[in-house]
Amino acid sequence: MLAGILRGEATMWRFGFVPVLIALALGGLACGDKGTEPQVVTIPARWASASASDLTSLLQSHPVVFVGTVARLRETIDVPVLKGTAGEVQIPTSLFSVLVERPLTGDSRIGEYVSIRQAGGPTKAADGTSLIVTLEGDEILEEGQTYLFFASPSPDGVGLVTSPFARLRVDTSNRLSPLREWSSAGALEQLADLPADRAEKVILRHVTP
Amino acid sequence: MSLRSLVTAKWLHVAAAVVAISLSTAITLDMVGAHSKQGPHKRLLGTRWYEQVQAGDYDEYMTLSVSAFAYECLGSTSDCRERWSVPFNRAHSAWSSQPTTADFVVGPDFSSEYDVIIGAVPLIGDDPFLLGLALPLDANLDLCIPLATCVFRHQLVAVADLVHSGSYDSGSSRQSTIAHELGHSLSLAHESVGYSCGRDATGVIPQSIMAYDCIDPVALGGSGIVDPQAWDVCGVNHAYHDPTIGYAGCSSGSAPTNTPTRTPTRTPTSTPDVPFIGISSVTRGVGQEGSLEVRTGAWEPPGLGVWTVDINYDPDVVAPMSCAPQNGGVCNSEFDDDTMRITGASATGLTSNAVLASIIVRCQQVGTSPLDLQLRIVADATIGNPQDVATEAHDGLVTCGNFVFGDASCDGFADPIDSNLILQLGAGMIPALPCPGNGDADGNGVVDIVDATIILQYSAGMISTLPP
Repeated sequence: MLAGILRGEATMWRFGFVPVLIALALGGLACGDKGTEPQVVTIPARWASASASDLTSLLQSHPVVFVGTVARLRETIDVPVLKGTAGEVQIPTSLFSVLVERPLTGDSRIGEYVSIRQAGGPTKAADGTSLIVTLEGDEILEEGQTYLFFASPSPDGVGLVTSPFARLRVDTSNRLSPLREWSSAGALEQLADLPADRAEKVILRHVTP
Repeated sequence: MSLRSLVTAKWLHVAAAVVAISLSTAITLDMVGAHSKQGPHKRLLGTRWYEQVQAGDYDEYMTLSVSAFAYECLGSTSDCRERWSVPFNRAHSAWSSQPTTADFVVGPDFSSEYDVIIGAVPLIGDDPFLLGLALPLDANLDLCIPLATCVFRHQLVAVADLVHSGSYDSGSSRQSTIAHELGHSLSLAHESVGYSCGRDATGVIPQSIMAYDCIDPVALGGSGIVDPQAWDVCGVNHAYHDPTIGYAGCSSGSAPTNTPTRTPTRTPTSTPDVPFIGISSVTRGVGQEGSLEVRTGAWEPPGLGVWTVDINYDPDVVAPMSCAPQNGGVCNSEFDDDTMRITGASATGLTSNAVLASIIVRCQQVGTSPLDLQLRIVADATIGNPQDVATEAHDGLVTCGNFVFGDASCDGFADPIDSNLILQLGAGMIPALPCPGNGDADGNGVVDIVDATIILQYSAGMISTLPP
């Protein structure tokens, strides 16, 4: 709720910050309770992330680039990891609906909803406990959050795939921030903390005709 | 592996102990000595194999059976075998030839009966950028949870055939992926990402099969390392310390501070319903405090009646600040230089999810400290005749980073100066923070005005820790 209020206060930057911050600080104290949240489990993994070393390589491996906001989690399905094991060990894969706000490269259009696939997501443990499974170095897409996506067509042709090293959050001040684990990767370091519109120009300069 | 202890105390001993235990420092513990040195710290996962030390060492118990490799690529099996057979053999052989107590022995067939179940599939989770993963599983082949500190019975290692394409399409890349995932299965965590091989955010570190920067192909800026390095051997010898081997691989000045103090007896296969006492894990910056809880789990009526639990930690990395007992116990955070003790009794019995103690610790320096639970006395609350109960100990971990949440100015403190910088950043008045990674005071991955607010609340004493 706090973030929502802040997003609506575009003019507050022009005026005194301190009274607002004190009010927010007090407000934060008044609504500090949190409900029980699912346990997050992070699975050790290795990503083919070397293309994140520079923007040109990242664009080659992730040719669809756009700024979009996650509308909702459409579905999560459990996918077998290795067949033939007793009970077939599975991990969840999530499919998100994302509203394209600013297409940069590749096949996407303003106002279009695209499907983004991500390994991991909500599931249930054997004892019924609610879990959110993530792969190491990643975090599950957040509904309502705007991201700069570098994406790749899904191998089976259903939507796009995002990678943890090819995605930056667009914060409330319109600046980009990568996941902490990948903040030192060359391409992300180049874009981190830039305003989204300036980052878009940087990206377009690296697009191979 | 690890952390499960079978407790065999008799009730008379229990009663006597509860009455007589002095929470000073009078009781001597059988502790493995600390092995801490200055230098970078090897990163370990909190998970461990169920194999246990017996008679002082792991001996044959860390000889891990491995299934025959499953060739589940698209297309012909023979082509799949041609791509993966040699890398697989080289990777497990490379690990088995290292001076650690862990050895991999490959069986004749593929089944889920083996300790390590391994194979190649086209894609993992339909993700075209995921090269491999290592899943810790319990005895029922379910995901072992809590994953951060679980004691696992199997490891499922999967590698993605289709992702090993382009610059990753080589035998050495496949070998490095398998060796890397087997490293995860031996409780090693990732090292650096985005630096040159042998460096991370703290400066120079030893090379590692667990560092992306070392194992990525040379053509993609990596160093193309395919085999476990001495630093990795050092890590395994800390995770599964065997006195007959010692800390091989740990050169002076480069050893981790993890202190392996687990000396439980060997147990048979893990089952998910075994009662346990566990401690949570926490990550904080140096100088910051974090909260931990010791809880019960999977206890059925009559429930936990008596407990004496020691928590061993690495005093170079963390310091206990307070320990508040709950549910009828007492707690001494200064039981020994590296040990806290909780002891208590409940006439009515405690079932699952009861808190035995709430603990505050402070990060002293960069590194990780296992929180090893030693279950000294455990019995149930059977009226008139308390019974010994086989109980697992679920260890925790404190990870101390070299950052200070909220310290956007890099002056070592989170204060109103940092709030101002974050506000200026948000207003576009400055292009970046001096320490961008520190500005995220609430730890949600974004630096924004909420962080500025939280830092002010922290400075005013309205909240006691960052992140709140």
